[in-house]
Amino acid sequence: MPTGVYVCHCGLNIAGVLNVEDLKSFAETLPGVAVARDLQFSCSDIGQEQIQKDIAEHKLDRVVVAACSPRLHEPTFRRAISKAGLNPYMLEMANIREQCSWVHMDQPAMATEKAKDLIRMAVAKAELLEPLEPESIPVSKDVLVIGGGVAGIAAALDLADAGLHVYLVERRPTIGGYMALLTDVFPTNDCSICVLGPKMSEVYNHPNITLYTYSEVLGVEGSVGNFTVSGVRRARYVDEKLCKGCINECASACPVEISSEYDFGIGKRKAIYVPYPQAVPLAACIDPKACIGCARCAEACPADAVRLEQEPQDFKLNVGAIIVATGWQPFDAARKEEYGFGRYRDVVTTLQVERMLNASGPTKGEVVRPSTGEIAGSIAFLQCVGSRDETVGNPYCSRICCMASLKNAQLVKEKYPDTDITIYYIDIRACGEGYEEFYIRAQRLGINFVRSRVSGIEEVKGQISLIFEDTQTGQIKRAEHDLAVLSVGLEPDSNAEVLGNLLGLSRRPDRFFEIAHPKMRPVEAHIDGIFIAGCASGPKEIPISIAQGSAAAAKAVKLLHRGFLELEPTSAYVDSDKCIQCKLCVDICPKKAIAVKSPAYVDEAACKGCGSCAAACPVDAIDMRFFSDQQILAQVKAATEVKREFPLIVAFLCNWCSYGAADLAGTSRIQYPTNARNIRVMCSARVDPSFVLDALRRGADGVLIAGCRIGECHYKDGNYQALQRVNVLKGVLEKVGLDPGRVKIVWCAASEGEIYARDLREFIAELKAMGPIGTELKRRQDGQKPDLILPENGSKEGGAA
Amino acid sequence: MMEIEKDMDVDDSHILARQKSNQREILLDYDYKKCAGCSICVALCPKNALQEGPLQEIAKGLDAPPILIDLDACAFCGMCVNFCPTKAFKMTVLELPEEERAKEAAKSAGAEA
Repeated sequence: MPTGVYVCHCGLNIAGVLNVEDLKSFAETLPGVAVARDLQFSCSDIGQEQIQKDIAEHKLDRVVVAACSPRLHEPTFRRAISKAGLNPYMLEMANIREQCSWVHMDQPAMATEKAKDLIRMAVAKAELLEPLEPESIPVSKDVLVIGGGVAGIAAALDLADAGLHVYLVERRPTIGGYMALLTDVFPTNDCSICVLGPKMSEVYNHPNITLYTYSEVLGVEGSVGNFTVSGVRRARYVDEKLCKGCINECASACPVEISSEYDFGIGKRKAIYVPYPQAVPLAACIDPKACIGCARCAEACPADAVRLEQEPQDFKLNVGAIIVATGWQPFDAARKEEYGFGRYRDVVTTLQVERMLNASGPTKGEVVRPSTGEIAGSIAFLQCVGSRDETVGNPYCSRICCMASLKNAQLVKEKYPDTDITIYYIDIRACGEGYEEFYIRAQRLGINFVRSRVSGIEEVKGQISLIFEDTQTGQIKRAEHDLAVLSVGLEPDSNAEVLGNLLGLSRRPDRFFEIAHPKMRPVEAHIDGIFIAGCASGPKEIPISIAQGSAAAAKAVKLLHRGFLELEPTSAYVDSDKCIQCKLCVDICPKKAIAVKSPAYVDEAACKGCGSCAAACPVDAIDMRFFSDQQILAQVKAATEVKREFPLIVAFLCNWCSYGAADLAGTSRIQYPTNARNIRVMCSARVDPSFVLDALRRGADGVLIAGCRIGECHYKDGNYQALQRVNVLKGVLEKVGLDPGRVKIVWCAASEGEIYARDLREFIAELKAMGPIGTELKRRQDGQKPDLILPENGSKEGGAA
Repeated sequence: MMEIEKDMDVDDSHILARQKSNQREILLDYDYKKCAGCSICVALCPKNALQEGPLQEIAKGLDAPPILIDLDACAFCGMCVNFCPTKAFKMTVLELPEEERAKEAAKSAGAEA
């Protein structure tokens, strides 16, 4: 196995501190090394050509480059060796710049020794590299969009126009979501349904969209590129194709009248109904909870479309990606008992006022007092009902309520200029294009603003009486109005909870779905191939929901348009002979990529290679293709082969944050001692407790594990798993008589080079106080009869001390 | 709009409620001699079209129907028929033949015009 080792000068960046000549001749002595060279700039064309020439000349089959961080130039060298005919994965880098020469500038001798260890570790790992082939799998080019609100509609239309086939599944009998029920929308006060309606019918008529309304997704299997989705289309009891949508024929014959959910309780509908005149598909639907089965509608229907014997229909879809646009639901105002919603008829919610203002709504555009039916002369808008309120468990701002109340107040004022309108607010949040101007316009129209939080509502002699503290004067006041409008906040749709569990989506503390990264990946879920758009991931205005729908569509197109997916060959794999089917890995996998179908099976398309399963497997049946157990153990062995300093630390750094932090410490030239020998792993959860024990057994004085900050793991919660394992390990160490402080776990973000250096310095100090490994055993032995014996190789540890 | 006509007749102990549309004729036949006055139908009628009559007096020998039907409210859904333990309610549906339907439809169209 001829290996080539290339030690880079990087100008003076490395050569200025380390003795590059010495490193080169050291590398020559390592087993398996056929050629070792020092190169001025290994990443330059000349450097790369030299490597390629050696591959041909010395028949090299693996290459070690001791230079900068692999996070910087690994792709460069992979390309270079693959041009020379080597498999790109036959490369290993020793990071002797960011994690050596740049951080130990004032101790060149010790730094050179550390660099030797790093090169020895890299060569040891290189010895065990296996060629890996990126696999490609065929994918379905169809996309499932769940939720037919404005975000789902935007996503479906963009995807369909791009040529992908879309299945749009909506739980209600019509698409359109909440936007279809609103009257005019801010900040331009244009009619909501007039802009949404055409989009809704475009969805219905698009040849690339299959619409499933009144349907639900019941099961999801598979992974990115090939999801199998099962669902059910509930019975409408009306033939969708025959129904002409004439609306009134069947409904007027129906003897059952109930309150309409599309009017939020202020309007009525029949047991057979069309949700609203612009519904898509424009077909009636029988509410089985209300229907009494008299069949008058069947008689009345001129098209003979009523089918009382209709059954629910199951469907099964194969899709490559899923867009979750499940939206929101209004906060239940009755939960704020002090406002008397449900007790006082003249206390209503924003959505009820929206319906009243809507010309096709229950009051035909008049804002009336429900108790009398008269037009309200004085209206109070109460902001933040169910938002920014810890008492109901919603500490977040719902974002749209301020603007919605400003808009509704303006609409009322324009219609009835004499109406007295007061908005009771904590803060007016009008941030968005044209929003502040909209706020100013409301003020100019003569709408009153009172900075306060209303503590209660009473009904006094048929008038609504608010009790509040004016927080600008500090006075407790009362005010009487005809009508109080509660600006209810947005909550995640409760029906989406089951769906979230089916898909394996995680939730934030505010119960909305969590996106993969709060800034950089706004529409991606933690699970590959699943995207989240609109209010499913938090309250949003219409334009942002549309933007997210389109963004999710673009992501899905990017994923699927080629018809195949290339997989990084870094996945886990299972040794089926060893697997005992304990299913521990199934629970631990953050990507839901493992299933136990006697034995466990890893879905390589879904696996992201974090390695937590490999660390967790009690019988070591799971290993990784890249960063294998053997490779890491070889690095540990190489790091501890020659012990030239005390304390010697073997450090496991997660690729995304801590390794980045260590690199940043280098680029910022933060100086720290040379004691650590760093091993890169994809995630702190990859660190198998046996790696730690092996390092200590071989004479390392301490083991450091560094992961992303808690809550910021790139694989969801790998660092929690690592923490849990470290806590167990500490117990084990204590049992065998070692100081549990010899293993330490720290968290640093990729931006926290200083924190990495600080944590390392602290650990070094702690280890110095403890003394070399095994000191505590000796002390114990001298003191009294030892009551515990090390499980294996205990003598070696004693020897190292 | 579908025209619906309703009327009610009494024939001995039978109270006959009739609903007529241009498609079918439904006859609800309540034989109060069979009725035990259990009031299950009162509780389940989705339109609240059924009410208890003077049950105590009937128990003492008064000859009167234990259940009163509000013809305006009744939707002829047939739930009382299906649940009555003594089968005091009976319902018959007469589908009008095709030509009669057309005639009815023409009549109602004429009436509208």
